[in-house]
Amino acid sequence: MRSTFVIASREVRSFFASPMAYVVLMVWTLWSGLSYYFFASLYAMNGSQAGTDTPLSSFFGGTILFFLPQLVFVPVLTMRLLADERRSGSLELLLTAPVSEVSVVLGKYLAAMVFWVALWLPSLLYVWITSRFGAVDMGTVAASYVGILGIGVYNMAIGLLASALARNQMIAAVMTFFFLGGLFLLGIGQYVFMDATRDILAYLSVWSHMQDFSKGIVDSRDLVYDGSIAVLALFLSVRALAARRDAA
Amino acid sequence: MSEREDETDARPSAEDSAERPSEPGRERGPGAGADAGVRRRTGRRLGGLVGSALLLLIVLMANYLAFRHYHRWDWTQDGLFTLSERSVGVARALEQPLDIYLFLGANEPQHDEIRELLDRYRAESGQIHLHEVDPDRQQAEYRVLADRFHLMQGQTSDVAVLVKRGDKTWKVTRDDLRDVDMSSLDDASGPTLDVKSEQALTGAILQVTQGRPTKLCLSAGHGEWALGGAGDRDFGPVRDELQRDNVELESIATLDLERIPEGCDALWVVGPLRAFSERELGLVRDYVEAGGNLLLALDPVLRDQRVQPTGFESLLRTWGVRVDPSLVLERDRNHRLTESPMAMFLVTDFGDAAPMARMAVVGSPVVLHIARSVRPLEDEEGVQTFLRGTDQSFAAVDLEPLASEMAPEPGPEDIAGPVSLGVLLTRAGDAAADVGSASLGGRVAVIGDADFFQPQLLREPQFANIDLVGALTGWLTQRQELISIAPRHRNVRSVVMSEGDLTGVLIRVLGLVPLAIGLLGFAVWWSRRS
Repeated sequence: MRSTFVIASREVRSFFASPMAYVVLMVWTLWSGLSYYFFASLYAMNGSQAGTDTPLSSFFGGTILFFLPQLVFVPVLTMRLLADERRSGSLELLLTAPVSEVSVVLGKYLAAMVFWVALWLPSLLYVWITSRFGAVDMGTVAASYVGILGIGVYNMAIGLLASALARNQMIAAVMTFFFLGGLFLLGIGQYVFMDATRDILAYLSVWSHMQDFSKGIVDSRDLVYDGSIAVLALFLSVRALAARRDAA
Repeated sequence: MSEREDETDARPSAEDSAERPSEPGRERGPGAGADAGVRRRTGRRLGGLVGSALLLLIVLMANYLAFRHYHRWDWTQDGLFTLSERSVGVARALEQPLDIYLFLGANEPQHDEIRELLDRYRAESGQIHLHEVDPDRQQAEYRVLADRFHLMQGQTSDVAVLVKRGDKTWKVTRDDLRDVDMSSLDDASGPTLDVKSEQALTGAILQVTQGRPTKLCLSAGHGEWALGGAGDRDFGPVRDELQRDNVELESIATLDLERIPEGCDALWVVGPLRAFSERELGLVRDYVEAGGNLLLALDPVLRDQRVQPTGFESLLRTWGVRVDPSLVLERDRNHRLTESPMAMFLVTDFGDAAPMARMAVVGSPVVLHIARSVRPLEDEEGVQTFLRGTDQSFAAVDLEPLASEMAPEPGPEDIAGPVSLGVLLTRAGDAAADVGSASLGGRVAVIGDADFFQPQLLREPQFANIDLVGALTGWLTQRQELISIAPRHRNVRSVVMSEGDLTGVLIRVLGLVPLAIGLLGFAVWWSRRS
């Protein structure tokens, strides 16, 4: 377990010591700030006939503005985790060290989750701003962050798996993009099909997950889905790493 | 896999051969060692494949089970998506299949909210079958159903939901789901929206599942609250609330009657200003003794600094109830909405009467306004108090000091607190029965106030007045699932910002925050460079 934290802290330190981290964070906050400003001005001018929608509920998963940047930022954050180690040759060194594949994968994953949380920290400012100009339901906000954490749990695991499978960073990023994009498109199917197919696609849809969370509803189905996909992706990452060590 | 095992696995095969000379394959020379290595790798790969397949199977199983059996937690502060006890009761009581058709388009603002509510009803009962028909995207299906259920009014339809059981149908319109509170139009925080969707849906289910509407007869002829009555004494708003629960109200003038009509499931006497005659009291007594149900809401009527008799005093005394010629004063400031200890005070003690157990679950106070004390006679076990003031309350029988003293103290004639404000009893034939028993008929509820029926108090979600009305109606008519639901209020405008505020937000979220992060990144880069 200690080696997991050592790997995670090394990864986090190296990430935040690089200017690239701040470029990524700056672009992210520009995008999310623009998105938040758009909803704040929309609701300030027009009001909400739905009664339950607020700028925050729209910001946290009500529209495509929430999901599109993730298709770009998740690959960028996860592509280097293992693929970069392989490119630089440090992966072989790491694998010959007295640490298990599980520790390596969990360490990298923990670091990826720290990146994910760092991305969303500035959004607390939006909660504070909204509370100054209207009523903020803190239960709904808490549920929204649980949803964001859930999405991060499986997004980062998928990104890590792609990084474990790919030969270089670019391929890892493209694989992650297509995998997450595929899941996203599958979710859109809920608005095309009806009845049972609709229910199944809604279950798989990250869109409907976040719509629930952003309204203050925490659904056990979403938690099980996010957690189980993450566990599967992490297990496959461990196997991929083990196969690579065997091949070495 | 343990870390120790992993560490062993992680070592190169050359080290393995040095550290593990006793392995059988290694004793047979270098070729045999290589074979063993290949076998071990093949075994590991096979194990990995089997493990992956097993985990995939477990993941699929877990998701299938989660899909079929799930729970949704409502974290909103107002419990916006939590069904009330009453709706849960109605859903769980369903014994036959019920079809609900949702005719809202996916893009309509209320769609997600109603769909969420309907999912919650379905989670409570497997008898509810939901059919979602989008009028825009499923035009053919919609037209067939619109023709079958007569949804169209001209070229349009305002029906959002249709509930059907057998031949009975009930339509819920978009207007039934929400309403703008006109009194809030000038509020600084913007107008308020009353979200009444749960009320409308539960009402619709009751409409199609109940055999016939429950009928309440409202006595008239003594200055009581009346349907279409003047000012605050209009019972129309109460009727509107109860109609959603398939309850009908009918006015009857007891003066002209030979007996209380048999069709009355309960007789309500609300705020009479004049006393009932002996003959009328005889009618009421015969009605209750024969299994009828009675609600007496007896406001204190003041004349010459005395509380006037209602005429019911002697009858109620024979049933073990004392109606005092008094005014209740609530001295606990935490239980008052105004400075006056008599006006608009809160009651939070609902006693131990089983029919009122739900009031404790609701957890909100009931507001009474200028009330009298109503209490069981001493040693009367069949009568139970269900509304009680605080320990600091008292009932003033001597009203003279009230006119002169700002903070009156209880006198020797007054009734000490906690003051009983309402009682329940059951008269089953000649023998008094236990209040909590399931015996039919002969149920009597007496309250020393009628102002709790005021429409503004019924609509206020933080007060449980509507719940009290529902609980009393339910108990008196043996419909325990009947607890009315107050609409939930939402601001139409969730944020109120001026142009200047928006500019400030723009500067903060698109200027200051990214700039701060950029500066931090520059500092990190500079420190590493130097």
